Amino acid sequence: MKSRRQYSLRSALVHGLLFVLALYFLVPLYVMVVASFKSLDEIIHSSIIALPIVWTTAGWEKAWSSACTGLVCTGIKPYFFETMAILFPAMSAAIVIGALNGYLMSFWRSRSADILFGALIIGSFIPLQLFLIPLAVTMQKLGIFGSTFGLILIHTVYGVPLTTMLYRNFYVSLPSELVKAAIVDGAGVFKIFRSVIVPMSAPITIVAVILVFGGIYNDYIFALTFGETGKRPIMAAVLNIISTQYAVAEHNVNMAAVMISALPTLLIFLVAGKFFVMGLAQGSVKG
Amino acid sequence: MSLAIHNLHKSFGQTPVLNGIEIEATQGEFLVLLGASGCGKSTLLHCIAGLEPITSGEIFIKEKAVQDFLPADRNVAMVFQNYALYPTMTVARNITFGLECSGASKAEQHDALQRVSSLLKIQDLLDRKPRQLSGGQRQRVAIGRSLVRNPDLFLMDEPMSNLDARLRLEMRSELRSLHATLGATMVFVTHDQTEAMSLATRVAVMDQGQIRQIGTPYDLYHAPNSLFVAEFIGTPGINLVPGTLHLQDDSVVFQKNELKLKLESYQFTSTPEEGTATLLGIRPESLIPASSQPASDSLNSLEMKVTDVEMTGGDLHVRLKNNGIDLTTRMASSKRVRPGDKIEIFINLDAISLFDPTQGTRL
Repeated sequence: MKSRRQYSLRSALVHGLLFVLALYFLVPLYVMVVASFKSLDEIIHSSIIALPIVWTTAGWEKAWSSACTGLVCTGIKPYFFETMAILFPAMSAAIVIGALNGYLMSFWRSRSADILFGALIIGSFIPLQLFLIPLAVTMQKLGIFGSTFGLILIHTVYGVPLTTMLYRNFYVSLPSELVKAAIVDGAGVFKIFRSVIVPMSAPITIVAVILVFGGIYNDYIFALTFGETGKRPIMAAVLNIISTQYAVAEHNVNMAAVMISALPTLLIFLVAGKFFVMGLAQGSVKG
Repeated sequence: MSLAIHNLHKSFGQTPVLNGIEIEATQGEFLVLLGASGCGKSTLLHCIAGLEPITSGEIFIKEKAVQDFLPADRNVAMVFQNYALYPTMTVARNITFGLECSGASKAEQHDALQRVSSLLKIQDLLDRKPRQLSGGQRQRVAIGRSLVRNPDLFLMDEPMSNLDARLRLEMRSELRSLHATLGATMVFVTHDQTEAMSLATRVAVMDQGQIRQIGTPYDLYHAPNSLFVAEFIGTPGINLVPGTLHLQDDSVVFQKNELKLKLESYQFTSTPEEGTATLLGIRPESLIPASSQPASDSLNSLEMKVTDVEMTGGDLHVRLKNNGIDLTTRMASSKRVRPGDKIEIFINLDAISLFDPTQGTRL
């Protein structure tokens, strides 16, 4: 009896703490959601936590297609598509290059591969602010400053160390006999990669997609520095919408804009979260 | 000659792992590389396959020097300890992958698959993935994968060590009959001496990157060329009795305390000198209890006291002691023997070995 009472006291404390933490994170979200569905009038005159009396999607519509940044009133739609135009090519390139790097580094080992891997890891820990000016100069010289292609290139380059690390650590945990068997079977380096290694890479690819997607989509500093004026990626644009100074602050539109820009990463996590955890566990423990 | 290796050396950095390996294997030979872990037997197999570059030496497969060839061009097949089946491919594709890589047509692949799967009785498994197979089935598929390309040489790296004891016995006899059916040359690595003895036409005992002896299982057991091989092979181990050799009336006599054995049938490598120190090696089977003494002159007797009896099922391992001589013998477990009993033992001198105690060489 005693141990049982102790247990329930402990679990009550744990659950209580979890409840408080959940509130801490969920209340702002709740406020955002209800505010985005209210009219501006209602926001000003009702309590911040009250449910909307009249549900309206006007804020969402305006945020998507007609909210203004500066003098341009296009909503965040074009910025959203700009982000997608950068995200998909850069993510695909970073994943393909990272997988190939990881494969070559883990199964075709050489001293130079180990040095290269060490350099990649060190490189990925240097704060990216340090690179901004050299990058800007380089891109200016290459004539791709402020272009979509420039941002794709930067995000690819910046994503490769992460994907290389993920794939390499995953492949190192696979039995090396698989590759040896394929060598004896007469398969070449790339045939082994395509036919044996890539089909086994689904778990770690899900991890890579989630991390790289989040990284590129949520990027602010590259978007702000290298984005073309009027055609910046979404994270830079959404801040412009919110911080537009003239007239009254349209809280419902702002909330809707923030929600729209946060949704894709949220969706990715909800859909792939389970696989994400599985992939991480598989990568670190056993192949 | 199906496989010939001459003066093969291999080092990892500064550490030598193979030192002057010499092997010759004729067509249809089942050669087993036997040794403790770390003796270099797996490395040797990987060198033959071409998965490890060699430092120096020559490897011939079917009279062709292959040491500079890529693994795929050596026409060898390999079975790995963990089978290394491609987990995302079906059994059928696992088996035909090698053919696919060498550019065989779909029809050729299909025919080869039919041939191999009926030979190994795995027709029902062809659509499954490796993870849906039991250990024994995986083993079969791995062997199937090695058969499909009609290789000149089969290389097997401890393929049975992941199976449970009963399945291992089954696979052993299947592999023996498969070898007989195919007439193929096989090189098989194991640390299990029973497995080595039961499969091999010849066994190469390896130690510290060298081959200590290469011969038929019979030769290794009954005429080991060194103390190392004598002690390595056989359970319970060979009995070793230190003593001296004396020359008496044209024959050699082994003496230890009161025990005197007249060695008439022993083939000395060179005639020993008077007073040579030696180790006498006697297999447990060559110590015969008096009650089952066969009529023969080459038997010499000794009365001994039983100190310990170990029951192993069909056999008893009986430890005996007399005046500084310790011996172990094997008896049928139907015999009633207890510690403290005194029994008369005869030594069968047709199956003994004599070794130099310091060099470890056979006299």
